[in-house]
Amino acid sequence: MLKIIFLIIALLCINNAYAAAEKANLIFTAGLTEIESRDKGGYAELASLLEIHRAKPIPTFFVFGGNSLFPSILSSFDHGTHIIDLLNSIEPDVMAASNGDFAFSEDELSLRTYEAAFPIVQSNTAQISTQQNLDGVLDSVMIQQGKYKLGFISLMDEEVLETYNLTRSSVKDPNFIIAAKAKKLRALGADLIIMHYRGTELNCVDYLKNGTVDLVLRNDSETGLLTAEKVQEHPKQVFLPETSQAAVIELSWHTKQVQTLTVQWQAEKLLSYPKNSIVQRQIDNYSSRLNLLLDEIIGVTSTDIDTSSLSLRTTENALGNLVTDLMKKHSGADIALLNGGAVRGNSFYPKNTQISRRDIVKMLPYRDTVVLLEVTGMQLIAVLENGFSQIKNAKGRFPQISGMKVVYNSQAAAGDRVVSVEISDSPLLPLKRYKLATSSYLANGGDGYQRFKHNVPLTYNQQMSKLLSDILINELRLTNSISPKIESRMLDIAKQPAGQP
Amino acid sequence: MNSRKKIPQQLSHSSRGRRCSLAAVISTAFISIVFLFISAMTLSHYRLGSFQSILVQITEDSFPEITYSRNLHNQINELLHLSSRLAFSGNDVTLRIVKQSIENKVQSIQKQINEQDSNVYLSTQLNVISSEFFSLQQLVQHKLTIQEQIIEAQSSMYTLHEKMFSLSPQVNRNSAGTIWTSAYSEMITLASKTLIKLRLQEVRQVFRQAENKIALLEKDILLLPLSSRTSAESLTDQLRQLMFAENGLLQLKIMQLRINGRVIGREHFLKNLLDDFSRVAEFKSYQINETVVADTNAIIEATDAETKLMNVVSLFVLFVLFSVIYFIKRRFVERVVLLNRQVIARLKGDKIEFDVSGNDEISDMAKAFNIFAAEIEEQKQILRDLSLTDGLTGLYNRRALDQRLEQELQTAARNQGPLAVLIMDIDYFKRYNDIYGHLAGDDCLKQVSAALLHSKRRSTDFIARYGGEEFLFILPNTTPDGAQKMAAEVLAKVNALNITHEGNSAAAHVTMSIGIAGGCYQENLNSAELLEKADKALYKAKKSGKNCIYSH
Repeated sequence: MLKIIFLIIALLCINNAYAAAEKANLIFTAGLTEIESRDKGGYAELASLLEIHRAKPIPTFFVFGGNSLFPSILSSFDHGTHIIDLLNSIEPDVMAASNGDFAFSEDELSLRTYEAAFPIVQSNTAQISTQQNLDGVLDSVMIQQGKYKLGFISLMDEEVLETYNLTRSSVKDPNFIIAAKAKKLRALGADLIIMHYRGTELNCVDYLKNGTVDLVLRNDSETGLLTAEKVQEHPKQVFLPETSQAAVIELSWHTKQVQTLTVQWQAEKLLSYPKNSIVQRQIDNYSSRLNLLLDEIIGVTSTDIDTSSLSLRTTENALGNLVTDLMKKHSGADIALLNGGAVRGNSFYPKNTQISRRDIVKMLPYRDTVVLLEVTGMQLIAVLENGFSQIKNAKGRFPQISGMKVVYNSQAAAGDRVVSVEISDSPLLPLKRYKLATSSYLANGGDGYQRFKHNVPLTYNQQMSKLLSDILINELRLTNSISPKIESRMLDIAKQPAGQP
Repeated sequence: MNSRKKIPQQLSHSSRGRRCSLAAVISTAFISIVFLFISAMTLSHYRLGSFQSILVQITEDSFPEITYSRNLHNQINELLHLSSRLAFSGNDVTLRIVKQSIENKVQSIQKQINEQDSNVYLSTQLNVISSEFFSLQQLVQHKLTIQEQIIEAQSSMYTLHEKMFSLSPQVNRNSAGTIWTSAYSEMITLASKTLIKLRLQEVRQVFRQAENKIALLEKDILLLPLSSRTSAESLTDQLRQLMFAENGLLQLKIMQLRINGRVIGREHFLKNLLDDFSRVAEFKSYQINETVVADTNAIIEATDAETKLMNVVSLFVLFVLFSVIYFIKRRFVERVVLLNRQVIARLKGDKIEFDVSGNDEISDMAKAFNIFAAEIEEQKQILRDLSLTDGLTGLYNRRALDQRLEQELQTAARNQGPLAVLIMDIDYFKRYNDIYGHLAGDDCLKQVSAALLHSKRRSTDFIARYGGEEFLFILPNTTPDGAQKMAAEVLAKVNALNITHEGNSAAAHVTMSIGIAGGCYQENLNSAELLEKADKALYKAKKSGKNCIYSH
């Protein structure tokens, strides 16, 4: 009997001695919408980074956090196939479908899964009709490198459905999903359970604390840094801003003892890596395709243009003013409203910059058209409330407006933030009907603008599927110069100095 | 004769205000109406002219532009259709046909753009589209090549399988051999399975399994009967080559799926490019349409204003027309009607002056009528006078007397007043005529008449020559005394004439006898009775020696 006990102790000791040897690397990145960027780096650099780490003896996993199929100029043309093609070359172990990957509807994402050489995972959405996962999208996956098997799940907020107006899907309760999938994966022999999450609602640390999952990978846009401050820090939680960086994560744990997992990670700038020539050739092949069209200079801006997400999604923006003015003019509306998230690019164009077609397509990459709706004053207030409801998270629904003056209070409770609205110098009348120009995206209820969903679009003189970018391009073609300005269309009384109205 | 000389003077125009000739006024009225109509019609004509010009603009500029862009749109749609056909071409022949159609279509669009549009950007876009088509076609070509290679690899795989079967009698000599052959078969099945997989990651998974299996297969060769080892090794090696070499089944399948994805991407890409192209192509026709719409709107606005103006003008014309008609009615028709009525009334005998207001042909006519009427009246008076007076003495004749006596009798009856008549007869007047001749007789009658007239005191008294040398006085409202006095005075006057009459037995001069009747009110007295009474009185006076008065 004593012998047996000794034997067991000896075995445990041997085990412990071996345990320290369990090591794996994990590369994680996300939000790479542009295939290349001179000042940020892109897929060619990522390929080199992976090559270097994969050459090491320790098994290296590559997890791609998604949110990359949109927006970009190329993807507005090919719905993100080029990103999948490039990813095929650098072979991620898994890709999480998140946020922008849903921009072209569920079906387009399903089509991408056929083209991908890697599994695409999204764990908490289901098609309403079948209660099954989206066609081709897996609810969880086991990835393997060397002897290690990692269970992978990815979660998202319900808000994504609202943002991209995904009418055929529903989001399942994450609590239940995480527990069930983690259990299933562990039963299948997963060494570690990795949870990916892009969102703001879920507190991932809880799942780490109760041991449901072993590692959390999070990514969010630069403006998501606002969120990052709120993210509870945890040694096993990796938070990566989507600024062309990759998290290089070293994992080590004792065999069969996942609780001993230690996580060491650092964010590395892609730009600091050389370009992989094979991938670069592929990239060149893609980017050269539109150069001829996009390099045409069509005008100049006489004022500064700022397309940073933070500016567009928290305050009145000069370009937002110009674009909504043009929408209003184009459709002959009284007022216009566009979500700040419709303007992209995250760039700054100082005055007198020459503007090329590429710049404009970068500013307005969505292929949305201008829609004319008749709305009541009441509807308009509801819609503005939706726009102001998520200022703190700098969400894309923040409105950019034309033809009206709005005073709001960002500190008030969401849904009660609009203080006053003036339309052409007279106060908004709740029952009066106004002609509103907006994008087809918002008119279909995108970004939580559900109030528009049942309004029947009116026809207008120039109606033809004219894109937002076309309207700006035509304006530049006709005038050769634009000068967007900020002119106190939206006032946040919470930001006004005390004593002033 | 004097009055006749006045007529031309009365009709002369200068006498009253400015002369407004009827002809001139009517001509002016009608000319102004015609002028107004001509202006109104000119205005309408001018308006119609601007409508015509806008219509011409629409038909000459806008319609062709719309047709052009519709044409272009159709061609682009066909290109869209061709792009999906290109993407899904299953064999070289289809690919070639589609490629040819695309080239033709692109050329035709290029030609159209060159002819119609000076937009450089459109050409650039078309170039990009054309090169995209070329790349897509190459990609599809590549896809087809890989498809062929996969089929080839597949058939060589089956050949390997057959070779394995032919080798199997040798291999299957020991139990490990049997396991090996069935593992080899399984390997082939696994490889075939990859060929029907549609997702890249599944293909990779299956190949990972296959790689493990082939490693085992290679390892197990050592357990095979010695004689078959070399062949088995070569078979395994060939299979590994076939599946995992640079150009092996795995790579081919991966390439096939990746190219399929790229084809989908390129197709999307092309579709969006074509969309953009179609929109840019339509931009110009939009601009033209907008101009036409703006012009039309401006014309509509102008027309609106002019319609209002036209309405006002029409109302004005109508008003003027009515005014002119009213004016003519008032100025001429009514006056002619009035004149006509006055002439008719005048004919009936009413004493009406013709209205001669104004200074034109009608007033001239009225004036002329007035003059004619006055002249007729005058002549009528003369005639009437002639018929009631006695030509010789100038006294009233018997007809006048009868009328007057009847009147006076009625007046007296109405007033219940007295009425007296004196019948006076020159004594022996027949003898006077015989003695002094008829001429002297006439002269005597004249002198007596003058004396009688002279003795007439009251205007209501009436004296007439009753016949031959008989005269009669009607004395209304005269008592018998008054009549007596009057008779005495008459008698005295005649005596005072002292006209010599030798044949008069009563005196040496002309005398007369007077019979008085009446003098008191008498009911139902008629003229015949009165005159009879007077006659009787005269008879009595004659009987009583003449040159005397007898009252009945």
